[in-house]
Amino acid sequence: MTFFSILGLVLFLYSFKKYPLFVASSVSFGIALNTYHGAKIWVPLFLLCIFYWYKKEILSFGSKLLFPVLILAIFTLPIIGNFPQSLIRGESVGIFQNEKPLKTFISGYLSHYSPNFLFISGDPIGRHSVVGMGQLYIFELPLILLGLIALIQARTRDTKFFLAWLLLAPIPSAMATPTPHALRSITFLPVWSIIAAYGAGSFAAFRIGNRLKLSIALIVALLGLYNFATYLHLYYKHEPKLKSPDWSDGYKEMVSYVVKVAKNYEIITISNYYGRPYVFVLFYSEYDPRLYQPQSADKEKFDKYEFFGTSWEKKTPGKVLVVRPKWQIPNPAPKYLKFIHGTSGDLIFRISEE
Amino acid sequence: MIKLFLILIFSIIIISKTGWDLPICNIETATLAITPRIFAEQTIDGQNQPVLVTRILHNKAGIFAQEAGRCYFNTLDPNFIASSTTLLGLIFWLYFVYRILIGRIWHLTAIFLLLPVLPFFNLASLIVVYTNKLFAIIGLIFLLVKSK
Repeated sequence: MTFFSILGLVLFLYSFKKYPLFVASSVSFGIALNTYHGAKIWVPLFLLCIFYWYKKEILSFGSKLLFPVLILAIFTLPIIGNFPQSLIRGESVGIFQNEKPLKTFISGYLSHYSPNFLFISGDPIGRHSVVGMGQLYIFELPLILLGLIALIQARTRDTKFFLAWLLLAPIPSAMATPTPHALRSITFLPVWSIIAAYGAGSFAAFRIGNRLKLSIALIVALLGLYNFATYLHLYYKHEPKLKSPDWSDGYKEMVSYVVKVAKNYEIITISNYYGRPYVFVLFYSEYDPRLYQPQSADKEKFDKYEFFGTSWEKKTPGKVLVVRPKWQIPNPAPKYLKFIHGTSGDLIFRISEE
Repeated sequence: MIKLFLILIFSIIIISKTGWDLPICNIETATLAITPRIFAEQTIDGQNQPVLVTRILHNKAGIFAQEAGRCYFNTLDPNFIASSTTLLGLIFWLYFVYRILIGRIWHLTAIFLLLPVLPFFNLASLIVVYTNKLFAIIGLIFLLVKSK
């Protein structure tokens, strides 16, 4: 989504005197629209924003506009032709199930500008940030502040466009929960970098002594190096040990074991604590799609597999294989058959017979 | 006269706004976090890592600075400001920040930047809430005076 949005924008900005680039830009935006659920909100918003600030150049293409518009229309066909299905994800995470959707939207939207989210803690979902770091580097903070002030002061069309981008970027993410969500607001990322670069540029133009300027630049550069080294260390050393369950670590081993002993049990019930276990059971057990598709409407069970939430209680007779997350220890303790550990050595699943 | 009336109405709304929540975060919580975090991080790093690398990446000063930063930024969280001044108040507050930076009103900028430090040292945490309200009202005045 981000790559094709940015590619579309760059091609558009270079297209004012080169019509083929304008066509290529529409193709890029069309592809972006079909890359991710959030893109269904983001791409139209971004296109509207581009149109608002650059309508003079766009309208100057006259009748030649028809072809790129047609291309964009073609790229909407997979969504329009499959409309109910394309809304499934949006409905499952959208804010409209909440009692107060407007309040949820506003607080979700604002949460993306939280300095703690941006610079200290990051997204709480383990896959979306490096543990112990924000979404941006600390050294970017002064540059972003400078950049924001310079952008606001410049008041040119381009700077207004970047500020509009900054304000629009969290909207797709704020339409869903949980927030702040680094992945759904990933179109934020380029604009923060652009603002930081603009800040660095405006700092270079400061009328202060060269020595002082160089000293400040050196301090920021050293801080940047330290931030980058910390990032690499946390990403390669800490992240695999602390966040492996967020990356579905242990599922492969668990399903391999379950499949091996499945014939001995009438029901196999698996906790959904680590998220959507049916996907992993289907994938790692190489379950025949032709057999699964007729049962696919119910995501809580298929074949002899059942999936449970916070706790499980036996309600039917017969032998059941129960897969619980590490922290779920029933009383009295059941007969444990296997413990599944992640790559870090931490316990992830307890498999018992009940 | 209308502007004065608007300032009065919005000021009453901003001042009477309740329901804000500032997490407990101060010098004690930051100090308390150091030992367990260093222990956890050194355990993750393991025995094979050179001590110097561990010391550079996980040290008391760094952890304390991060915790202090967290406390400081809590008071600048847009949701906290909106909850203490209303959503409209947040917009006025942002306009206040914009005006003091653009107008280079350094004494107000210094107050604005130093105030979030007070709750960190357990000094009159409530003052942050009420100065946010005050900043929002000043922002509103800036806005209305500008549109003269």
